[in-house]
Amino acid sequence: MKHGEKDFKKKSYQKQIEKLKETGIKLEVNHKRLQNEIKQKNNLLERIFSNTHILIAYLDENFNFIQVNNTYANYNKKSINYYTGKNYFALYPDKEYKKIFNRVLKTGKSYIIFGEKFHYDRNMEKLNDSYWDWSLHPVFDTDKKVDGMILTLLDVTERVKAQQELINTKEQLLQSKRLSDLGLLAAAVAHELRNPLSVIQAALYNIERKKGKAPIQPQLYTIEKKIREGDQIITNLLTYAKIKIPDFKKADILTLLDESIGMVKLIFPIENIQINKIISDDFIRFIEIDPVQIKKVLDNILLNSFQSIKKRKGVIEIHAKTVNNHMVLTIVDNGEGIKKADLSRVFEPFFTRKSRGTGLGLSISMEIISLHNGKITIDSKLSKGTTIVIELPYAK
Amino acid sequence: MIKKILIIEDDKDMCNELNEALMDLGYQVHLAFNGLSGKKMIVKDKFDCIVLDLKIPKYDGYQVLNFIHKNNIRSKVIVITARMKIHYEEITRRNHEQADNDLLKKVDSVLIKPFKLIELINEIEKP
Repeated sequence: MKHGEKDFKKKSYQKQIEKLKETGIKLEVNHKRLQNEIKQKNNLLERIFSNTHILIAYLDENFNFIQVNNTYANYNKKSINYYTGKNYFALYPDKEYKKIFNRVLKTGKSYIIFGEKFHYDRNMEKLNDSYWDWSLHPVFDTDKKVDGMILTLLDVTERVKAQQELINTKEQLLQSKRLSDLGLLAAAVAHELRNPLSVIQAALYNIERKKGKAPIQPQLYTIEKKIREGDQIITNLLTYAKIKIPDFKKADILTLLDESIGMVKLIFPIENIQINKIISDDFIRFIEIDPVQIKKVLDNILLNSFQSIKKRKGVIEIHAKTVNNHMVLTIVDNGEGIKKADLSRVFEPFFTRKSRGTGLGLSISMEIISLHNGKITIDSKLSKGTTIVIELPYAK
Repeated sequence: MIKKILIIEDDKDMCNELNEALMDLGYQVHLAFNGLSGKKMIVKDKFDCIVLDLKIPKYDGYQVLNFIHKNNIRSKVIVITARMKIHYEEITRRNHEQADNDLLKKVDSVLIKPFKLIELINEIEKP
């Protein structure tokens, strides 16, 4: 080998070594950079993992702890390392929860529950009740098999307690409203019942006074009528106190209507009021309703109509139609009518402008018709008359 | 001596019984079924005694009382009502002015339904 050749090779090696050195340095720098990046990312994850008020634990597929966050360890007054490798159910034995954990493992579906009541803290010490939002999420390996799970726990005791307090307050409010309603109801009913009783009292005086000298038929008749009135008031009260879910039966509405008309005529025997029934040809008279409740509605509406008709000859028209699977009953009277300002209030309990009346008739009717998924509407013009429309679905 | 009585009461059966009993005792009885016609009769005629129900249509009993008071009507006034005191307060708070309470204090007597007719007759006869 020539000297020059040797030199050349040496130079060339040296160059290659230089290059390799350079590459090596570059690689080292790159490596350090990547390491830093990984470190930073790890730090970031670590920070996210730890700086939260949510308790987080990472478990393997055998429910052994892989890692917990600070919050988890702090809550249980343990160090993070205490958990590593320990089995969850060795620390906190619980059959029900084991079932849930196994289900998540098997199905790969998350389990999430809100506001669950825990009787024990995580050291199994008995404790005041606490409430938790908690979840168990499966973690999948590259073959999409569950190889671990994330457990999160969030103490929501304060929130649940606040909610419970709110519910309690609401119930107390309702209760006190019911009581004041009851007081008003008692006052209204007492007042109403005293009127027929005072008439009976007066009639008794007249019977006593006549004692065989004069016929007492009128007094006996009056007493009977006032007893019926009193009975009606009591029935109204009872109906209002326990309007219940309708007892649906197939019923003939036209028979109910005739019964109602008969009842009202008993209470207003001498009034000169004509009742016209206008029934369309395709009207279906049988319908699924609670006949007792619907009769009550018809009674109330007809009673109102009779009471509103004064002086001149009264006419009550009852139209019966079938429209779009609904029964439509329209009751039109030519009575006194209702003031525009009062019209929106007639369905309110205890609202009345009558000198005799509890103000419950229409609120009872409204309640019953809504329980039947129907509709009741009212229209009225002062000194012209009132129209009531009842719509009821044929099938419940 | 009381001779002429006006009864303002919307329950016609009550009116009939009172009318029959009082006429038998020799009183001259006039009937009004609402506050408005009662008021008109008070304007037109002079009565020794007015028997007044409070819950009546068209001018309630309080409005009639107010009218009697303002116009210095000298009749004896007997209020008949189904209201008890405790209920009375609650109902008046909703429906009437507080002044109604004072109006009631000015009447000669208040009978709570159901009263015995002899009590009413005693009140009418009381000097």
